[in-house]
Amino acid sequence: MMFRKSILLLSVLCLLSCSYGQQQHKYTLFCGTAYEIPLNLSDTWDPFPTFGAGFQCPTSDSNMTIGFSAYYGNLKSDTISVTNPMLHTEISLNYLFRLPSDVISFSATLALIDWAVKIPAEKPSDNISLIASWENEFGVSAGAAVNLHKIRNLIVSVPLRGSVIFSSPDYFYSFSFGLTIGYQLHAGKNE
Amino acid sequence: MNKIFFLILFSLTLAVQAAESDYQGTFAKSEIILDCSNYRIYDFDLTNKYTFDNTQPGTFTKDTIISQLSQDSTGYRINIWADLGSETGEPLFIRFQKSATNKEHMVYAGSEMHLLKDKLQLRGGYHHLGSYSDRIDNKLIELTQHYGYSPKYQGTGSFGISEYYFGIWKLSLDNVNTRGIIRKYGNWVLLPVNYDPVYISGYRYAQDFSISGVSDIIMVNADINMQRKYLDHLHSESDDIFTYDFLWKHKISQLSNAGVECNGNTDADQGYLFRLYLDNKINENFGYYFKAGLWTSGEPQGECNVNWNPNCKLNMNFNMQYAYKPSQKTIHYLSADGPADIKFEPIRETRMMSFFECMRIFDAPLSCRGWTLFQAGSPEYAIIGGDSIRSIIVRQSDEFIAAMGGKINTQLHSPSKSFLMNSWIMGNCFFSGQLPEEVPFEAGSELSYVSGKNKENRYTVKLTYRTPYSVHVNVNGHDEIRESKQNLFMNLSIDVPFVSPLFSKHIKPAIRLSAGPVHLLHDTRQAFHPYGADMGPAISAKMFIDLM
Repeated sequence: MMFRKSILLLSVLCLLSCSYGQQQHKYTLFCGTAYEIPLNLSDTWDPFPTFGAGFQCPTSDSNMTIGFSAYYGNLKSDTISVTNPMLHTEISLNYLFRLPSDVISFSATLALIDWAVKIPAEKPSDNISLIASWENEFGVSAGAAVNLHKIRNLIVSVPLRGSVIFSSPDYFYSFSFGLTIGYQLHAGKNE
Repeated sequence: MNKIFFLILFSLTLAVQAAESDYQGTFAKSEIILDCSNYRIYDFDLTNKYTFDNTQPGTFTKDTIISQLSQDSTGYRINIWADLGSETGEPLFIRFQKSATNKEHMVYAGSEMHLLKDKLQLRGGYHHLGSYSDRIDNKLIELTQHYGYSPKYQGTGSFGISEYYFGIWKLSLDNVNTRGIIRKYGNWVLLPVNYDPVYISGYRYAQDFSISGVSDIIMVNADINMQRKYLDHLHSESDDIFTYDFLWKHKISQLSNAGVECNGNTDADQGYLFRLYLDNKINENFGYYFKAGLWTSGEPQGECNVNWNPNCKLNMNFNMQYAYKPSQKTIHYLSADGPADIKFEPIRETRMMSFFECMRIFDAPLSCRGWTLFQAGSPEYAIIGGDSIRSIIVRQSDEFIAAMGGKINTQLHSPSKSFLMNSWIMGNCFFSGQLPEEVPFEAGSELSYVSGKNKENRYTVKLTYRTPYSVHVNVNGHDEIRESKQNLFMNLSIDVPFVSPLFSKHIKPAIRLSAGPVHLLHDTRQAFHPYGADMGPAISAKMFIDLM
């Protein structure tokens, strides 16, 4: 619950930051959900929903944006009766393929992700530091999204992603699909 | 609490990149080869090997160079950077107590400030190479099995191969330049020859100072290194080393200077050297200098260097020297085979080296550089084991070495300049004798695609091939060659500056993502050096924030 509040707080901070942005640039704030289907060799993990938010900044390439986002969910396994909070943060590069239609566009994403899973302390007395109690693993993710621009400044996206997390001893794979709603801040010359 | 953690994590994600001071328009080409013994950066050209401090792996002279302020700067500039990297299979963040596997991870973060119209520069940061070198790991297991205790140390660098905090400042006034460097460090150092690991921690402070007048220049460098060495892997002993250089040059004519120089090193046996100095410029393109002197032991030392620039595209250098390097303190340490000593014998060698560099050949996009080396001298150094007496000589006594090498580089681009290709081939060959370390043949190609308004977004793939890297030693009279495998590997990188949502004219953020090396000939992990750690694909993310 606290994390969801944090995500909300972050979203507000992002919104405030971008409100003061230079007018000639365009930023996208988004939030949404993704349904993760994790796979690895040693354990059986159940699919689970995640919720998150982020923002995208423009680069000098008009079709390319860079995005920062965080998604939170509960990684769990009924087989081994474990539920671990999971936080997935990422830096993504998004390339927009413009289609003849103004309503639909297609984008491809390549992301570097950090998949952090909170490991509960074995005993309450364990003096475990905040960061050390999270297992962090690098991963990469690739995917595509269909975007709908039906309402002004609002973008509805349906992303489909595949990820590999370079954990040890086994790599961890995850597939996800979801729905995000984005709001584009753009003004001045672009309007 | 969770909220605070989340904010910290988010800040880290944002800060996971860095404002490398030379970022604008240029991307650093040198690579840290994480697994080379002692983490040297090799350019695989003997004439261009980065100076390396073997007591502090992971530290390079590059770290201590403060960049120049860019031309378009407004007079001040602040760079902040953070870089996180880990080998696949290793947790991203440092965990001080354990490592999932024996793999690499790295954190490098810091800040640099240019103030007073670049007259004052400050730089500081933190660097952790959390590498569990295979060599170190295996040796520690051996030690634990042999002596029944596990070497573990508290403090900086306890579990990583190298960890340090550093601060650098540089003040440049009209006639005075001064620069200071301070470090608190802890390292696993691989000792020479056998590459046995020993833990050393301490503080180091170095100060350069130079003042120039109408006809005189005085330069002073002082360096104090207060070390604590864990030579038996359990108890520490202190060993302070003080080194200094002093040079006074006096102008004796319009194009000539004469001077006196003295150097001292408390780590060496009678390590004090006094020299006379003379330089002369015949014209703008041709100059030479002489240095000649005596060590306090009476050993002579002399050097002559000639430099010729026939035109702006060609540079030639010829250097001849008779050098003496005094013996250093013997190291007594505990190896897995028992107590051992490393004795550094004095080196006397005569050496002639020539070097040329041509920036452009026949107006083609080709550049090349080459070198020749003729060297004769006493053994480079020797190790004498404690229990089982044995001698390892890295270079044969009085062996004459004749070697040469070169590198050819070509840079091509598409008509639109969207695609850039940089290819190189380099090699070294020996006509007589051999050097302690044979640098291999290397060839590679780097292909970049750049996009955006100012061609700022860059996507690069690099393919490199290297023949085995070898170390030549003579153990009890028998020659041994210890070598790595040949390597063919690929590196990928993406550099993307982006527009800051806040004060975009003054804040220039950028990210750099990189991955590699992906080995194409062998397994995912490969040793680059006979005694270095294996290295598999690693991923790193770096963020630059440039405030101007």
